[in-house]
Amino acid sequence: MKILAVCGFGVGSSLILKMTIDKVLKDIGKDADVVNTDISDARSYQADAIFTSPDFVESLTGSVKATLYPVNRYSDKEEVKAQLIKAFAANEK
Amino acid sequence: MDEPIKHEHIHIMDTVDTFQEAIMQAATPLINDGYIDKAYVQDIYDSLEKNGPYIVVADYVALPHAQPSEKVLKNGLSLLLLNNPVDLLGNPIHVFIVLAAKDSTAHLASLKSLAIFLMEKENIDALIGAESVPGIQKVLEERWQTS
Repeated sequence: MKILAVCGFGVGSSLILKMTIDKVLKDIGKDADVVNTDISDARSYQADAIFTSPDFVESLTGSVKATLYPVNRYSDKEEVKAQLIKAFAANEK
Repeated sequence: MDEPIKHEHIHIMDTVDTFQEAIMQAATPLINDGYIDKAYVQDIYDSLEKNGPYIVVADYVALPHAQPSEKVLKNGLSLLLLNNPVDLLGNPIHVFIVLAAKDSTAHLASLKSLAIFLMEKENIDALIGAESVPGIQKVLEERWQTS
């Protein structure tokens, strides 16, 4: 599975989110390719899942093929874990 | 080891009235030290208005930053601890960590360490509970992992 971690500029927050996703993947023993980028690049990337803030989920809705997973707190492992479990379930279908 | 955040870039305040004031206060050491132009702070305000409060990366912690530009002269971090939280678009915030990055690959190592630090709630609790700048430094140094 390929996951995009998205924020406004692809510089700070999206890296924090990518680090949290990588950490949770390790904790739950799953593998995925995680890339962080900014909101405008997110539209041109091929990915299975996009993790980003609720505001960006709203602006990306309809313009990307990937499934969107909102995350409020980019460094919250529990929140990220809940969304990752959903993403893996959807991807295995 | 280098200091995770330079001690002269860390300060504590009791109360501020608005999150804009908090961000300006948090950024002031970076402005005074020639790391960022004051206009960078305006970019942060504009981003918050446009993009929403995703810089609230953990409960009580915000990571104000804007896009890399010529307004960033040196890569760096600064930290403001508020004894009383201020509202940032619906989120109470005690800790503002301003990120100044000249480009998207700059500062990767310290951002990664910061990410690992912020993932543990007890690290944030320890930070909020610190009572002095040396106290904050101690929390950071003891819990900061470099990779």
